[in-house]
Amino acid sequence: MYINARACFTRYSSSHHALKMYKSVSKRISNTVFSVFIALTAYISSGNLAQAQDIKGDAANGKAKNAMCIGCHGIVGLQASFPEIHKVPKISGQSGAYIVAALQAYKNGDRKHPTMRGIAKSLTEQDIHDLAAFYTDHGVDNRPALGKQPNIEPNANVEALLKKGGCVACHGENYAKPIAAAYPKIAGQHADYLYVALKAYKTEKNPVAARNNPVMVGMVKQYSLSELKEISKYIGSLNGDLVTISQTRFK
Amino acid sequence: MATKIHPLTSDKTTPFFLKPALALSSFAATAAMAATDLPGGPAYNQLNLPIGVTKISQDQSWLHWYMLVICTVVFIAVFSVMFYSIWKHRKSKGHKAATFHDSLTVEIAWTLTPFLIVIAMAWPATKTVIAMKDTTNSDLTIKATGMQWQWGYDYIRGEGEGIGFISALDKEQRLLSNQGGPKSGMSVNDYLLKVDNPLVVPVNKKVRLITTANDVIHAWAVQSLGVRQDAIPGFVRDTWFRAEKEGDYYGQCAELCGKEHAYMPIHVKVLSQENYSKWVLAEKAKSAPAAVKAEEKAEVKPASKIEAAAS
Repeated sequence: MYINARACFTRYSSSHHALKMYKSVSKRISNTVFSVFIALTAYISSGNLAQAQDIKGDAANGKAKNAMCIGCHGIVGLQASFPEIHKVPKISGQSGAYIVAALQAYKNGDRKHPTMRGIAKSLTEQDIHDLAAFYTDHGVDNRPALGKQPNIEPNANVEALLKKGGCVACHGENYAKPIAAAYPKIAGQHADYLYVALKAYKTEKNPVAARNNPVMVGMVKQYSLSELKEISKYIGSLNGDLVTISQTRFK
Repeated sequence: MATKIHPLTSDKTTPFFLKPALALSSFAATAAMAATDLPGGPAYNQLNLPIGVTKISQDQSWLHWYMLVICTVVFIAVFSVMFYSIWKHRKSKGHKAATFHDSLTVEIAWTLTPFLIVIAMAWPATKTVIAMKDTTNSDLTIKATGMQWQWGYDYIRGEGEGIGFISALDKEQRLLSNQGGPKSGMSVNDYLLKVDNPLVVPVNKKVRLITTANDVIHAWAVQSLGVRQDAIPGFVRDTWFRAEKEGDYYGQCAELCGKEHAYMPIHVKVLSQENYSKWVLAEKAKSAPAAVKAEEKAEVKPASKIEAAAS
């Protein structure tokens, strides 16, 4: 009995060691695989984009269809209460292809958010593209030019976190020039919204508050919620293209 | 219908300070031209509650008149005594105040009378409220979800179980509203009440409606059905109606819920049982044609069994 147990223990410890070795090697490999995967996804989504461009968005038509958007996204400082209290994301100045991708994700359930799902479902593909075209250029004249580097340097802790995820690799220079149009600009987005969004990628099996974009789901896995909060705070504090623009009071 | 333009609004010589008033009157005139009654919805120049098509809504109308009559009688009685007393005993006539004290009769009278009046009002009202809250033994259960700014309907139990859709204001009408509403001569009876997917229910069936919301508080209210129930995020509330007449009934969100609150109408289509079943089949065929066929077959079998047993 004793010997058996001992043998078991040895076997276990050696296998444990091997597992460790395997993990460190596989981590390196998986990092490589992961970057290839990201590049591939970017490539595919840009391909999707080319397809989607068969539908041309018209900003003027988009302006006529955005009554429901303004109700939340056009009120400065408005907070939403679902799934937790956060400021409604800024969408004026966001990348058009990303708006299309996000609305489609809400429509088909990749992103779960009951109200946005309801709205996306009542939009046709043409509506979605029109709205995206409108919001890309919305407030474009008032945007300050962004420098090459973020206007605020992250502290060492946040810098390490950002490096670990390689956020800049996709969201681009300044976190405001994504490498694929279907990725969002995130610099200057409301920090509490960014946190809610990141948390949603971490959420599984919630029928009403989860996101399942595979790249982001993979990304957020390595962070704790408090780390995600740190990242959100930093990125939210940056200068970016995103703004909330109130509806004019005059017609 | 001929378009009638107010002769003065187009007149360039009208003083500027008169123009708004004239514009308003011409607007009222054109609005009058365009609007007629919408059965099941608002009527032209409607002031009173509509007499609805459910027992509850008829009770509500009755209660409304009953309370109004009681209030009017009390008002007239109290004020006539008051004015009579003031007038008859005014100072210039040299009246002296009475000096009686502790009249048991008066005290019992002024305690008992309001008490009886309150009971007379509360008794039938409570009966109706209790009836409104009795959602048991429903034939059909539907969940209505308020969201900014549309209604989601899910058929939860009963015939049509599994059907779910979103009901939003007609987009053309929304655009029309941005442009300042129906132009003169346009006849839009269901203005801001037309939806893409109405809620369809069978006639003479008890429909239990569960309300909830995704974001903020909304309220599901249809006057002709005598229903008004808040839809609160994170909670479920329920109410019910049994429409006794086929037709279209209209309502609106009745709890201020944000910018597009005025643009989330409710349209309930009450069909005969036969037409309702047809609608259910068509609706199910839309989402899962194969499943419906299987169900149809399954439905046929027990029926033939019963026939076999009967013969």
